[in-house]
Amino acid sequence: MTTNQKVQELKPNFFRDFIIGGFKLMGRSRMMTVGFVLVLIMTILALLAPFISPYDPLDINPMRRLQPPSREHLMGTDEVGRDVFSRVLWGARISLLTGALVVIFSNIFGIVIGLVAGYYDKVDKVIMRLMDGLMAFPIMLLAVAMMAALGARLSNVIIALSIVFAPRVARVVRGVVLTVRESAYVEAAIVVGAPSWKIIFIHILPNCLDPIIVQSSFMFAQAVLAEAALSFLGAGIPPWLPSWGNIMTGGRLYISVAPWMTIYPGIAIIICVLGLNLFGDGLRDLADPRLRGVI
Amino acid sequence: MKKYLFNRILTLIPTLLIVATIGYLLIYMAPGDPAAVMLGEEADVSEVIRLRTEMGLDRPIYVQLGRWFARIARGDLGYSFFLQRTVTQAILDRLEVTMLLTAYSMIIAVILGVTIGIIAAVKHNTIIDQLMMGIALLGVSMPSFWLGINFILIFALGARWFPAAGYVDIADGLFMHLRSLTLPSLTLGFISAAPIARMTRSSMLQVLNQDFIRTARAKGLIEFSVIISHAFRNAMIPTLTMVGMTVGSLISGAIVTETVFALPGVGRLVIQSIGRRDYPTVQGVLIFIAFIYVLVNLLVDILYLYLDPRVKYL
Repeated sequence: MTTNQKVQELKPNFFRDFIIGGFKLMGRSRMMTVGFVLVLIMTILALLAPFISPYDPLDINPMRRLQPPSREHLMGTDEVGRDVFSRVLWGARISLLTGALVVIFSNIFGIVIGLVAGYYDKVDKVIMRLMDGLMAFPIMLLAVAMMAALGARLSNVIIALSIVFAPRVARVVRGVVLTVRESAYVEAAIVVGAPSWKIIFIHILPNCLDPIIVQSSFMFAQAVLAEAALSFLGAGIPPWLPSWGNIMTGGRLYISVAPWMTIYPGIAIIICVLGLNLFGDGLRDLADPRLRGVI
Repeated sequence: MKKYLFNRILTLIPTLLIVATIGYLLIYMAPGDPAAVMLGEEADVSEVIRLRTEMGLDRPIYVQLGRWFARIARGDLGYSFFLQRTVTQAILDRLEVTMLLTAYSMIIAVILGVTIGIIAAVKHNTIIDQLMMGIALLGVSMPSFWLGINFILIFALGARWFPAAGYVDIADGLFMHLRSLTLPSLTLGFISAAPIARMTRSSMLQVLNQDFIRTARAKGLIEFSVIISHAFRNAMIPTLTMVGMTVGSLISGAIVTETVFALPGVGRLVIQSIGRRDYPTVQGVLIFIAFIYVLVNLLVDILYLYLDPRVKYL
């Protein structure tokens, strides 16, 4: 065996380790596996929506309005004859996309803010007071008020919810930074003269990943619920776009004649959010049982 | 303890100032001039300028903020041109509904959450435990308005036990009043019970394993008294934290629930004001609710001192 080969073998294969590690984790938590499968099913349905949805989700057909579930329309039709099943499938795309983007953006902002606040004493007080201020508003209230100012658009829903969730990420990250900053290896890095950005990103950030990943799955769940609630209040995604919240909002007026318009998208949300919560619970218990109750 | 209280109240001041600033600056997030947006597209330029002056939008931002703080300190949250009254008055008119709804929901949430949590902890790792936690998990995974709509479908339109929408004042009869708020409170209470149940269970499990519980059992105390007066009393602190945190989600939920059941509360006021682009009312309610939320958190902190003598905060 040549030296070159040895080096090749020693090099960690992150992708492979990630996959194998993931399966190993699954084996240790049934809750997490169930959650993962539920979320996976929803994601696949969302991705395949253009291929498997039997009708165009925007196709209006007044002749077939308010039809109960049947073989042709698995979840019935709505007040203008659109197929509810197709709309729920396409709704999965919009709801999951919103959730995913909210998680990504609030993590980016939250992590940067948390790292800076935790590492630099001087700005800590100011930043955290600002975050406390943002967190002093109940989630829906702040989101609704921001939507009022920004206007009902998909991108604005994502912006508003990211601003709402970012302080919550920042608080968790800052907490980790404060403890890690005191550890010997960080002190050592400072002593040898490593630049601050290197200490923050290479030595401190990896320690924050566990709580961030766990929190992300709960945040995802909350973002899906919040998007639905915003759309329901008329302060979310424009009504013609099929998101789960919008479909239910449309169905509310017809609840006594066409309950299927509300019930099915609701079940879709429950399956998705339940999956995310189960996944998060399982992950948290595996990552660090002490996080129970903190996140 | 007095020193702690004093410091705790002192830290409220910057938080409240920031809350007020965020609330005020929100209207600047809107594209275009807030006054022009409020008046709509058909408004004259002269009207817009008049409203700008009236709202003080023509002044520099720090002057506007200074005036805003001074006004809030006097309890003046602004004037709603749409409602033709002060925002404070508009909030007070609708506060009763929201407060009662939140209070009833809180009672339901605590009773339901604590009961489920204790049962699950006592029957740890049995089918009952899993069932209870399944219900709790369902509670956190369900959109509150969906549950509300289903309650309407089943209990109002189907069984006709409760009205589907609307609010009856206490003055018009306690029974009818409670009846009008039953479904909304159950909706909101059930959703909020879930986190309380989960927290109660996990803190009960920690306590139940401790020596003093064994001692209590060894003394021959009946199981009920062991669980309630020994275990639960000690497991209450995390539960209480959760209850305090629930206040925020209850207020969030109230906005949605009031819309589902057409209750004339503060939450609905916000939603209606947003539709009308009535910014002063939106700002006012925002600040008002955030202040209440901050004060509730303060109260929860103070309650700790009484419940847990070990917490000294010195």
